[in-house]
Amino acid sequence: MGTSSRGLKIRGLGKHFGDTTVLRGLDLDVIPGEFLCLLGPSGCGKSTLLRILAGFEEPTEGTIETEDGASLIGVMPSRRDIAMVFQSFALYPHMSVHDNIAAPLVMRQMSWAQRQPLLGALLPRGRAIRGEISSAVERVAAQLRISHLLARKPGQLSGGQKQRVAIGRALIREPRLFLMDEPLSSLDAALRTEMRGEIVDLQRRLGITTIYVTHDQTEAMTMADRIVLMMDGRALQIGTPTTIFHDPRHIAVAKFLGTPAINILPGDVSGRRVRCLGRDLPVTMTEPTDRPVQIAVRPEDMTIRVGGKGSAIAPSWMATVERLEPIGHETLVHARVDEGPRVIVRLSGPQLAGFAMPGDARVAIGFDPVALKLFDESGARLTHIAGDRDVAPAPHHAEAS
Amino acid sequence: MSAPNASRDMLRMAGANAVLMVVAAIILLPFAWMLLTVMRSPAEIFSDPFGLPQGFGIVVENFHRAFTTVPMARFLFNGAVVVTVLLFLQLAVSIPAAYALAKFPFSGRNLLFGLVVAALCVPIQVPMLPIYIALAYAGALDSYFALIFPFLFSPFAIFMLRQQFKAFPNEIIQAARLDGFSEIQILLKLIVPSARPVIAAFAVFSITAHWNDLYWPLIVVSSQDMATPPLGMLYFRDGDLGTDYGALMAGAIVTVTPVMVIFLIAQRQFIKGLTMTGLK
Amino acid sequence: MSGTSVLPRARRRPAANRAAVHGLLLAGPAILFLSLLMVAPIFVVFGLSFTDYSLGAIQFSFIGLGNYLQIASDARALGAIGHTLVYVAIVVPIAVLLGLFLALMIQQRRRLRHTYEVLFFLPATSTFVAMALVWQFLLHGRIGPINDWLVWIGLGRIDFLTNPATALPTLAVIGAWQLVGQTTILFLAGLSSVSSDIYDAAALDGMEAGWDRFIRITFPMLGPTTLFVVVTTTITAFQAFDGVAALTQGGPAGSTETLLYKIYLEAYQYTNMGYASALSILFLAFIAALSMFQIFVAEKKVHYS
Repeated sequence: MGTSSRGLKIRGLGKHFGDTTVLRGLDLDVIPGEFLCLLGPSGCGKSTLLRILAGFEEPTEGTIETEDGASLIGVMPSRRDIAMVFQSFALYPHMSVHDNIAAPLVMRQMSWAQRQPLLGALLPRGRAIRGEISSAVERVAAQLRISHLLARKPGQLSGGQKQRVAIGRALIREPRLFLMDEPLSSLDAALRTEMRGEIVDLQRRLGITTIYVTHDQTEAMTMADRIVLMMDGRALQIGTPTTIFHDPRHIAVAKFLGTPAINILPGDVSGRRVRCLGRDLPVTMTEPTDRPVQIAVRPEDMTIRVGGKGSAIAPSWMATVERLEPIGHETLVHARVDEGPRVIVRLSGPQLAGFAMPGDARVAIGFDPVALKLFDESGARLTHIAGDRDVAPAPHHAEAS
Repeated sequence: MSAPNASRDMLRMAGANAVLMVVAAIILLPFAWMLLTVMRSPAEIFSDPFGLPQGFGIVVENFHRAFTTVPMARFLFNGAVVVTVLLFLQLAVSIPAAYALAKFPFSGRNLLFGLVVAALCVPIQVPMLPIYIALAYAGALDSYFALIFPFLFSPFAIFMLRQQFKAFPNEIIQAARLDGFSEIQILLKLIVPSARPVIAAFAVFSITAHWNDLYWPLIVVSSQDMATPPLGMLYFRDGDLGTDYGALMAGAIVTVTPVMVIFLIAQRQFIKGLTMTGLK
Repeated sequence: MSGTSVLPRARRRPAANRAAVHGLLLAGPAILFLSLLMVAPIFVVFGLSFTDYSLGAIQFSFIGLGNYLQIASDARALGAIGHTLVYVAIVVPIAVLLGLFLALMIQQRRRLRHTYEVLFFLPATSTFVAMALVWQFLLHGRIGPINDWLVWIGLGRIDFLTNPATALPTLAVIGAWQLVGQTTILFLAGLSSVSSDIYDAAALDGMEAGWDRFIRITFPMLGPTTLFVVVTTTITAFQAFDGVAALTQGGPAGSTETLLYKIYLEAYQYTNMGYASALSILFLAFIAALSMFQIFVAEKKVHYS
């Protein structure tokens, strides 16, 4: 496609509806050609941000500029070189698939008179332009494998077919920015996985900047180049899926990602030492401090031993197994630490082999100190060193250590 | 940057509002005129139609004439009796029938439903002709019975209620039967309460239609004692009061007000009722 | 719960049978009145339409198609049909187009929407005869204020309801006045079923507002609503009676005699039941055809999903 992909520079973007604040001071740079996911729970402002980018709503404050410095505020939606795929697909129910896909081109390439229902057919050039548009529609339809559906009405299509038509209508105008608002959430599970792959392939092939709104972390993790994790109208963290998952800057990010949710254990820091449920942890704080902390460990980073003592590398806590959830390739162990919280341990691969235990079994629970993450009471990330490895938001503290 | 957009929208809004207000003024003109006229003495109506009202006495005077020169109170009473009794009987006939059509597989059910739908397409003035002949032979014209009789079968009520009852879950009905409810109890305690909004919409529709109806009362009523308000309005026109516009407008206000009050109280059911009908 | 011991005895009859009996019992009164007030009368009307029956006559005879042939040669009957069609042709476009226009205007209002709905709907709720008499006063050739205004803006007086040329159109405009609220509300209901996503998608595709959005999105999506509104308005207009009876009694010079008013005159004023029956059958055919079209053709053709 001939057009270049769009980048965006968003600064201090805010949106209020009366007393309700939906977006507060959001900063975001969109890199040309990337696949960016806006991820967050419902009501976090991600859809509003998308609607502002599309031009359906005006922000209350802040700026949106393109890569060449032109402001998008006040520009009509159709003049933004943007295409969008809606959750409901928003296909025009009275038009055939062909006319649905052709709609953006009809509006752009035909004059006002040429596109009128009866008059248009009589005008010179009208027929020729219609022919060009039709061949463009056929090209896009072939690409999406819906050529055989062009004569149908949306009401006669399956969910997956409607999805392709919606994408076709977006693609045909060769947009510089692609917006997708939970486009897969009305499809069934199998189709969702299939379309996930297709959309990513398509995006890689065309290289069009894509902003994709979802509340589904699997979609975001598997599709995105970068994820913007939004909560409460703010971008809590922006980064690659790996960074966001393994290096959360805020406890809310850590809690939002991962299934089952990350385990949180209470702890204390005094000086550079960290204690958790009466045991010292083999880690050292980067900055000395005195405060209670929250220790977060993912279920897959927990270890479990039946009847054994603690492991060599880390302390362990006695716990009672409350419930087992075998899911085939892995098993989730729900256990309550003595005088401590409930935790979930994910066992898989070699750990799982020959693993069996009765209910109420007494076990020792531990975890890999490299994998733990420390947050202060407000949820902000604290940095620490495990052994001689720095486990922290990396660039920030590289110099300090 | 958003300024041109916003001011254009403001202009468009203001323009639309102006147009709507002009249309509203035209649509409300007769109501305004009715109120203006009733506040005037016969002389003022012509000399100074838009002047300020000369006091409450004239209003009272106009209404007084409306109620004394013709038996206006009697008309209102007749209208209320007809509308109330009719609504009660229509529901008493239609609710069980709709329930049967929705939930009971009896032979002839499809035929009955087909006839109900067909009846929706029949203008009531057609069957009225033989009904009138029958009433005339029975000597039953000019009575409440005559005013009510042709409307006892309401295909519209049956159709609307049947659609509503059909959506009622069968499991609940079966559970109720197991709990020892009789069919009548099921109908009255479970089904009817669940259809209350539809019944309200129909009630509002039926009351309006029959309070305002002129055709049938004009045919069967011959004495002032049995006249309904719309027919009463014609007595104003025909009688000596023909040019007493103050009293005529007072009569019009009294005729129009009851239904309008119901409308203002039950706007939602009202609009729903008339939206669902289309077919009167 | 107390009845459990009775159950086995009561349930011995096959359930299907019991349901059938209950169903017939429940529908009984409705079946009775359907037969008495709808089915039988229509057969009677149909039968009478082939006779010269006159109310009170001791005997009457079958005259075959005589009544129908008489309609074809009766200038007043043909005139009544013509007047009805003219009345419909004025009422329907005004009520439908104005209703659509008002619905489009009101739709964008947030705060005032409900107020306008209620205001525009007032005529539909009020007794038509009463309001028609108010209109008669407003339109009066000598004392009506509307004529004063016409004079004031430089136009001459118009005897709206007493001039044969203007009486029927005037009645039609009053009829449309009463129906506009209803069509507006039906169109508003239709408009609210168009999802906002569709309008957003249209905006991105270049149909931001105005004519393009209306002609390509709004109007086609209102297709089913429009058809419904047109048919129901036509049916209502076809039954024009109250205005004629209250204001003109068919005059001046028979110029406002509508089909239903003609039936009323023949049947109940002149007691020509046979002839009135033939006219009624014609009337029924018109309206039933419209309703059938609505139910069987339109419902299927104009639905999208």
